[in-house]
Amino acid sequence: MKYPVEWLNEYLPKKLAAREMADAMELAGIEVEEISSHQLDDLIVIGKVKSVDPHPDADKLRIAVVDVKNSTSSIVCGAPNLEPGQTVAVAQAGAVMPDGMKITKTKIRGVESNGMICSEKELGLGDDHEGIMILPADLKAGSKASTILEGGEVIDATTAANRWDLNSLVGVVREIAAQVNQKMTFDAPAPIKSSKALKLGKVDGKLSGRYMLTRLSVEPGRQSPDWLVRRLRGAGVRPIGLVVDITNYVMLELGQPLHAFDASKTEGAIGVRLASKGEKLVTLDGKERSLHHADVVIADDKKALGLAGVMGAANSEVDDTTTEILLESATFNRAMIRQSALRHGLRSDASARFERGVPIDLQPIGLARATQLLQKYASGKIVAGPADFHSQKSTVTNISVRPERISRLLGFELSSSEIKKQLIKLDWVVKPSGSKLTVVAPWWRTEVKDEADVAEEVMKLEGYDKLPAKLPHWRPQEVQFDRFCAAKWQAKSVLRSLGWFETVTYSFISEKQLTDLGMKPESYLKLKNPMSSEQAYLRVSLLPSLLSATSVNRGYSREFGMFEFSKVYQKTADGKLPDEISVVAALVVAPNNGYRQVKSALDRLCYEFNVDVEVRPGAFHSKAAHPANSGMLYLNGQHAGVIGQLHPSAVSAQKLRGEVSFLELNWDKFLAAAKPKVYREISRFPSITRDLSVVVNRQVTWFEIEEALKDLAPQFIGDFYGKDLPEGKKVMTVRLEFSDLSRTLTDDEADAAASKALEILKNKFSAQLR
Amino acid sequence: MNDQRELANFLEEINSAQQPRQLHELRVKYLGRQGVVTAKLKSVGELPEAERKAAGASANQLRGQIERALAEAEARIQGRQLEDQLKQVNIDVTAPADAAAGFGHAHPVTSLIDEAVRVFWQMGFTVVDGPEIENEWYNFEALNIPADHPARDMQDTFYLEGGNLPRTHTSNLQIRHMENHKPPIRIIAPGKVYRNEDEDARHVWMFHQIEGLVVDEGISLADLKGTLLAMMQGLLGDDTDVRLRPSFFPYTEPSVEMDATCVVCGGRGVVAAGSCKTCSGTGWLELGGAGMVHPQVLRNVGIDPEKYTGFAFGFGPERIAAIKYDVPDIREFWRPNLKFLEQF
Repeated sequence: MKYPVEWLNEYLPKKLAAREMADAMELAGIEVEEISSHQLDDLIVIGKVKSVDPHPDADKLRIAVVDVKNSTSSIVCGAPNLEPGQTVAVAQAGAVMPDGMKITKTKIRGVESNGMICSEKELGLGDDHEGIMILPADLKAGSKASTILEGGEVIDATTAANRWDLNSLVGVVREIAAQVNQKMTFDAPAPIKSSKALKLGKVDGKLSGRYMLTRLSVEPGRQSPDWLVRRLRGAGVRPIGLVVDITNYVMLELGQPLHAFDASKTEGAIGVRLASKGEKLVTLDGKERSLHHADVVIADDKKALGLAGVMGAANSEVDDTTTEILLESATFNRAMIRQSALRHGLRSDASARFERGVPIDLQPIGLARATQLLQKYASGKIVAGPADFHSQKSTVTNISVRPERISRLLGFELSSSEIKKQLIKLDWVVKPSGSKLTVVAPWWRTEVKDEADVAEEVMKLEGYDKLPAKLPHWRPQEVQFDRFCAAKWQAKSVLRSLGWFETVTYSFISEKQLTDLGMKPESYLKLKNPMSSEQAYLRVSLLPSLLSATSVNRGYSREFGMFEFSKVYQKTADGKLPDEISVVAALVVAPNNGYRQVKSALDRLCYEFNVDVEVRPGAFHSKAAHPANSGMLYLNGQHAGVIGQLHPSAVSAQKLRGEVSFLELNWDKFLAAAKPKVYREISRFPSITRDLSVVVNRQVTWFEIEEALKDLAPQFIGDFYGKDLPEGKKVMTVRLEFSDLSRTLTDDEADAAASKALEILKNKFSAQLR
Repeated sequence: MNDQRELANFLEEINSAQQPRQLHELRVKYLGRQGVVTAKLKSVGELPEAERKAAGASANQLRGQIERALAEAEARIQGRQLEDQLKQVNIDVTAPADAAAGFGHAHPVTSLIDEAVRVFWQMGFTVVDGPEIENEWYNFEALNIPADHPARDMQDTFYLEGGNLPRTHTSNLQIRHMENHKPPIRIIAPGKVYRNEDEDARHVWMFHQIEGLVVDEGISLADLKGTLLAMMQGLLGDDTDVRLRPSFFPYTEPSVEMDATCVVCGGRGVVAAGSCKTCSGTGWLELGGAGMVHPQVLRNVGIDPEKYTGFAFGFGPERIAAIKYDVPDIREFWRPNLKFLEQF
């Protein structure tokens, strides 16, 4: 909300500067966004449009002659809403606009222009720049625009969602006054009464906690006084007309939203009900709205007059001809108002206040204040009412407060008298009761419920700079070691040593990213309200994200790799939480040998953590994976990830060149399989090596050969897929190293062992010695 | 006497020799077949018997001295030649060995989280992990944020089709942890969170939070302040100061905002170029929210708020990383742009 400083100062006996106020607000927990100062240049003056003529050389431009007191000016203007007789703000040559633009005398398409007729936006008063800003007709030509349009300094602040009272000038001044040890000077007007009763229609007590209505006569067509217009503008509310301006003024001042209906446009008694099926309503913004059966409406005998707590209807709008109004001061079910506002995309100043829960003590005060202002400025007279329905009673919560508990919670000593001294600054009632205190928060502090709330209030008034910094004692019953973080760091250092980049990519991906890879969006969790279709699906693999990231960076280099640790989300039953799996994934683009790089990463990780991962050859995905150069990863017989070159068509679809290879490992399973490394004794005697080069079918894997020769700890030396070999065959070279812990082996012994190994390979894989 | 003069002459000549060729000539001159020393050795036989032994020994000694001197001179000349050869510049010792792009790069945000974890380990905190996709109870209701309450506006929420939501904060782990653990509790929970907000230089819809929770008997707001101070000194340096400002979160009471002294201007609000841009001249950086765990939240997880009190805090590593590494636009963090990442 925007709080004009001049307005805040009205309620303080000793005026404060804007900065002092902002500081006090911060100490009270009101977050100051900015202090803006809205001052208009003296060369911006009020002008009367005398005549408007077409521009000889431009269809969209016109030439206005404007009276600015003792002189007239000719101004070229493009605004479509310019008409003779209007009262406008004119920036004369030399004026500096709020955005810093300087106005000069100039020729526009050959016609001299001596200034600018200003729009709301150009004056820094709002966003409207569709046309020029039209001002009240009673303003004098030549007077400074600042006298009516200037808001002075304004503090823009955000208030806590549980504090309805801070959505008002008085509520904020109360906090400021307590912080600077002043006593605020606002006196709530006495409730109004009249001899004539006003009959209400049916008010549903579940929808409205209190509903008050007064009938008043007003003098039609009266203008709002300058000070009122200035304050509304300062607070960011657009002046509309005296009656509506007064209701808005009271809302800003006290936090009570009010609504005035043109009495002549209503039929019968006014009540509060739920919207009926198919009911439609044109709200004040001119939009027709189809009402929902949970929308609360204000209605007369015949029709709905407004969306309760959100916005009035056009059918009962107050205008220049209105002579009698029905003035409503009410409170509504806050959740229902919030739902209505959200449903219709209509978060109004009123609904924002009702959502926080306006207490039922406020309605008579708001009504009395508005009546007072209407009497003074609109010749208002009470015709009947107020009618007063309430379904709720004002409640008082007695909170039993233990000063030692407050002290313990805050961490520094506070006596009963100190607590009392602070709380009474904010009109709390504090009574001793034995060693405790009985504390009653004032009616406007509906959110205060228990000792912790009292502690916070005292702390705010004491000031957080008084709070000492201590360290909590620590008396653990057990130590829970974190095995996850350190292991991740270890893995990250392994992957970095390959020269790769660690990335963080978005968890949500687009349908296209999935379908490009032949993945089916139906099997993915989907957002109901994504930012855009680019981020609609929850990923189950990092492949789409890393592939897009690679594509975006394709100009970076011919060869690079990325890796990422993240969670992925496997859909389970509808409405159930997904399975979240930690994975580590890597993607490498290289002119060739890309597969070897991701395999190297896998091998290094397996080596680092002493895990046996089995690669089972085969495409991990029918469309995305290379049919031969890929495989699935298994840990103790369980699926634990994928590895492989991507299918060349998937790669070229991303406008990538070379080979792209991918690795994704279920990090949870991998880490669970990690074992400590165990030292094997090294023989002091020289060993003997024998290399076996054998011809086998291409499908025979190193993994199988290694398993077959497990006891001999074979080493992979290389394989060869030469054309001179028989079709479907390859050569694999295996090195065997023989040694004995107690003696030097003989060549014969080594040869015998090697022959035995060869026998195994012959039997199992029909291997032929090369 | 004669021998001594021969030796002196020789040493003088050998010391002035600069080339191996000169050494060779000297060797021939003294030790060659026609050489001075050879002649002397030959002449020994012609001497009378009585003198022969002494003269022979003397001539042999002279030969030995000359040979040693020649060997030394040879080593000296070779050594110098090697030095001269080595002095030839063959490599630029200042040139980079390989391109930094290939060094392997840690992500700045995950690095910052890792750093924070190490700080918290030293303060006795345990790291816990939990779901990123949550239901309304853990993300909102158990944290005192009922449906249809304007406090829900504080966090624009994504929802999944069919229910549940990507968590809007890591505070869900307060509830999940306290449900299964009795005090004393001292945990941090780093992780990703999601908000349905438009992106700009300071906002992204996916970011991380580091949540902290301490619950025990007698935990106070002053303990929170001391813990935040220690944590920020651990992360930003020993000179860092922390201040608290009142705030509102439905799940803490009292609630505070945490500010730390600006790392760029050292809390002075000004730098050489004028007002400090990082902290807008205030000297303070808003870094997170915190507070005493709301008694209702403790009740929601079956912890007696009369016996136990606690504090919770949360802060965003992206913001700290952006300040620490001087990154003006946090959207850079996730793009990913390798030209950006290669700088870390």
